[in-house]
Amino acid sequence: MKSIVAVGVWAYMVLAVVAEVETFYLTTSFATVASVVTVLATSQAVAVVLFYMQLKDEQGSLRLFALIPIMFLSALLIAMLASLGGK
Amino acid sequence: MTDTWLKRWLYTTNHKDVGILYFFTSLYFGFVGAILALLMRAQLAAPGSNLLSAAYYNQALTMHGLIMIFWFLSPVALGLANYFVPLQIGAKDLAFPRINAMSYWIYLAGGILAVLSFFVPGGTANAGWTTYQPLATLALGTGPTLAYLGMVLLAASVTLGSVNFMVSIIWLRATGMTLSRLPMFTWFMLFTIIAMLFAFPTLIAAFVLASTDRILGTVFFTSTSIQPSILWDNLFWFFGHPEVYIVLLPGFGIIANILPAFTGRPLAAKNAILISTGLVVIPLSFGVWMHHMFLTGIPVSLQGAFSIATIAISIPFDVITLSFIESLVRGRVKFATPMLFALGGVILFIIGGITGVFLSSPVLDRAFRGSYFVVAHFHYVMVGAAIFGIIAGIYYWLPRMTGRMYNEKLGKWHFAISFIGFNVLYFPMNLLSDMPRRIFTYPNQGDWATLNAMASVGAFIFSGAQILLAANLLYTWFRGPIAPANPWGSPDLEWTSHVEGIAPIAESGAAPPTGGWIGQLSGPPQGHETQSRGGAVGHYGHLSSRPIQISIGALVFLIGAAFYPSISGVAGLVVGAGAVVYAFWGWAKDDIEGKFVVPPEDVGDRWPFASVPKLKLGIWVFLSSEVVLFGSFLGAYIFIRAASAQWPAAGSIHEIPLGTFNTLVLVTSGLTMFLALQSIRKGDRRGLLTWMGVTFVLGAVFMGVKVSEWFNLGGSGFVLADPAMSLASSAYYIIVGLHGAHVTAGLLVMAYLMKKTSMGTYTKDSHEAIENFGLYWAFVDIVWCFVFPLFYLL
Amino acid sequence: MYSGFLATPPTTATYDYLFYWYLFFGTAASVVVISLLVFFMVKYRSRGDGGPEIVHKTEGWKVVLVTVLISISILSAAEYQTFASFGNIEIPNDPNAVHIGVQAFQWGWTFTYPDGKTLLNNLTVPADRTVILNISSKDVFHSFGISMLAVKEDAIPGKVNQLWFLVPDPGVYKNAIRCFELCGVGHAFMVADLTVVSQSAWDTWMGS
Ligand code: HEM
Ligand SMILES: [Cu+2]
Ligand SMILES: [Cu+2]
Repeated sequence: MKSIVAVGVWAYMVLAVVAEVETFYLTTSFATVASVVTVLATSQAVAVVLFYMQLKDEQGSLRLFALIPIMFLSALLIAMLASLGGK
Repeated sequence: MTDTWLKRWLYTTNHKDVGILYFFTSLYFGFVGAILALLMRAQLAAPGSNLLSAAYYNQALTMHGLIMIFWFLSPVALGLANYFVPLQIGAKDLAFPRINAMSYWIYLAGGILAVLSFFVPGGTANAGWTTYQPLATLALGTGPTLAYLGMVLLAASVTLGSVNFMVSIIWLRATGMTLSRLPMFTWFMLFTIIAMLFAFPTLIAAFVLASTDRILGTVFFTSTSIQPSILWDNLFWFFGHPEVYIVLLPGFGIIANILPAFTGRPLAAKNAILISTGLVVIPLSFGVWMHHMFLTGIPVSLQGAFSIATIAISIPFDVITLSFIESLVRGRVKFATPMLFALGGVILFIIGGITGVFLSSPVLDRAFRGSYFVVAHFHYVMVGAAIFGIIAGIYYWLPRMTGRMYNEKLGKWHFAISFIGFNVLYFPMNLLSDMPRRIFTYPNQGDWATLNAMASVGAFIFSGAQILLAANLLYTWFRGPIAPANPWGSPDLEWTSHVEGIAPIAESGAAPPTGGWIGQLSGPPQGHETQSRGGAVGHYGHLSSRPIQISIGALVFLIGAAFYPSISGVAGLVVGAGAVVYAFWGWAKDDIEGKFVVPPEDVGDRWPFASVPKLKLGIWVFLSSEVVLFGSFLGAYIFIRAASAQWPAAGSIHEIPLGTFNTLVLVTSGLTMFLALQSIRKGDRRGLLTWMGVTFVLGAVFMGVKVSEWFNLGGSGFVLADPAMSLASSAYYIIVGLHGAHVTAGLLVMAYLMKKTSMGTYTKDSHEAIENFGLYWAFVDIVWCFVFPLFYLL
Repeated sequence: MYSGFLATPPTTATYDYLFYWYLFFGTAASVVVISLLVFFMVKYRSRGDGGPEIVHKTEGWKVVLVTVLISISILSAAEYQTFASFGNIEIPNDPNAVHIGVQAFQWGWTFTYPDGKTLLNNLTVPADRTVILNISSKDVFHSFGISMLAVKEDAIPGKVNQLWFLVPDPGVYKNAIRCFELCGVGHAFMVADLTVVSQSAWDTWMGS
């Protein structure tokens, strides 16, 4: 990967942080901030994993392997929150 | 002589030696657990008995569960795996021998904490192995703290071990040892390891939160406004259900592995067994944990969903069981002791598995939960299936470990008495579905007295039978007749590589293992033979004092933590931390001075990760488990936020501009670390040093800002002691602190890498360490990308 | 099974039906499978060198397929029966129901009645009327269970869980209520009585 791409990723990371903070200042809606932040933080994670950790250049099996904990964790998070609801 | 004997066992990194250490240590813990169980059964033999007080009974009950599951059952399997997985795949050792030794010593240190906990005033943990909250946290005292810290160590040991086995099974297979020829025990250990890798981090998170509550006064499990019981249940059982398969699968692997030796025919439906276990049981095991929470008030729809998932997970087990049975058909079944235990284990599993189906119904669970029916269920599967399977493995491999043959007659008696005693012990419990479990005494009501008396008699028969096992072990080791090289006529490598009469336990540390394993593989030969991996010097003689030093340091540190903030506690923390740092420094020094070298492995079969280097694969595997660790902490935080009605408004506590600045600093360090890697890829050592220096400075700035933030927060009243802030500050300090610890560890490693760079170690073609560190650093970066908005903006 | 009732309470009836359904198929399955194991083990036991020819192939997808099909049919029927019994765990929408508060504590139960009265370790309910319990805990995790009615629900601090039952006829049931989750040294003695009174006795008691 070219170093210029790495700089591009960095620029995206910075932009995402700025966007998160801007959203926070621009709205008082918790839900809006929460969803914007979720999307942006996830996109940052994907960018770092693919480019800085170079998963995009790795074997497909490793890419699949990296997905496993994400799957399990999503199950944990979703069901955990659902378990809070009453009958 | 004694000196070298002692040195061999304390400093060994050899997989067989470590396996033997695991084996005997776990048998010792099994003995302790059994004594506790017998105390309980003696107390329950008759109604209204007063042998044990309620307080002692609850301690016996709790530590029986913890010790049996965590310090006996899994480690005894890991001991066998240590010994036999490398032999089965034709490797000289595990991928990371020193880390393997470290896993063992940390496991032992955790066990020492657990045993110590009995002897402090007030006694040990008493809230059951499930450690339900808030009861567990409300029980004050250092005893429970020691036990829970022991659990953290144990889980850390298991995580290291999982990474090691995972990489070994992928990377160290001999040429020709394709996955399709992998022996079943190794296959099942692989499945076990994968489940461990993703389940144990959640356990670590749960016990870290519980321990900080006890030591630092955080309020995760004491502030009832956030439903701490539900939080704990979710964390514990998300780990706990995969855990029950973690203890089962090694036993099943042994059964699958040894059946052909005693039927004379191949295992039936081998691929169906593998698919059932690897592609159905393991993934699904992470999606059924709420069947332990049917009664906690979760929505009925959720109960239905988890009931379906639970009943679905029994289908692959039906396939496995029926395939085991089909494996007898048109064979020539020989009833040697291992086979008896294997078949007995299958029978007991059938009974235990079917009671599990009863429990999967939320409606029936209204009667069963918290009753002896559950106790019967899980002992049928954990003792019946898992331990019977492991005992089968012990008899089966004893000739390989000692070079001698066990006594067949004694073995058969051992089986017969165990099997009968087991059923006398546990079958009555199936009928006690109206009796609560974990009560230390009971009234003379209905059939309770009769059934309990039976169970107690059975308990003494069953545990008495294990004396025969001990006797047989001693007999074999010292008196047994020399075993033939391959007494079972097995096609697996661990036997075909065996030389008659060699007794590895007695063997001195200096002798290298046999040079290579040229031989038949399990499964029909398909053209190529296994290549010898001989040539390179075996590292049998490679000793390292670092693993045990690290573990002693960790032990002292955690004892100190349990007694914090007393002066001796603080002293323990300082001395322990010093010892750990010293030992790691020594570890690094050994590497720099080339004192401990793992010989490079030759080419082998490495599908499906052929193009990922060994250490890098290790890092990826480790990081994937770290994802679950941080995910569990952040998940706990999100749960707490969702459950609590009030929370300090975003922006009112943390300075957002400063946080933003710090986030940008860390994000930028991600880029500079990458540029460091790019430099050395072009062979530019100076560029590497510069960019890594910049990364180091950015990391240090980040930590500096963090520390100053903490000082200001503490000064401005964001403290645990303030009831309005206690939850928010608990979450912030612990989770952000954990991230900070990762950054700090990264800084230390960077200092080491920069020193090695300046020594000229890294070149254009050899800079794996830099790349691997880059992975770690990027991961730390990612975690912060979630921590920052969660704590600062929401 | 508890046999002291004149007319069976609905939750017990539902539970019994479901339990015997599971017990029938569970016993049948274990008997069949264990017998198969024992049968093959004996039939194919090694008898010296002779005997039938040994197979050498490992695949047996036929048996796997049959196993999966049989398992799926029995298990989905079982799951269907369970779902059909969800009435036991869903709180009925009965305007005539009596609501009683239950608070668990270390170690006992406090029952709070519609008129504000509280009783310690004695749950008194009217006969032949739906009773809905609102269960919570003052300190730690307990579990409130009445085995003879096949109802049980956890008592959790910071949370209210509900269960329902109906007992057709009056009676006094000593120690019918028990705690089913380890809650400290008093766990073994955390029992309570269930008193079922006639509707008229209930009305008088409520009025007093
Ligand atoms: C056939 C598949 C299985 C099913 C459907 C099943 C189902 C269940 C269910 C629903 C429970 C919760 C019971 C309750 O608390 O009310 C349970 C508990 C338990 N099961 Fe299983 N199970 C199965 C196999 C296993 C296996 C293979 C093991 C271990 C080797 C195991 C170990 C346990 C343990 C340890 C508990 C209870 C833990 C405790 O409360 O202390 N189960 N099982
Ligand atoms: Cu489970
Ligand atoms: Cu209790």
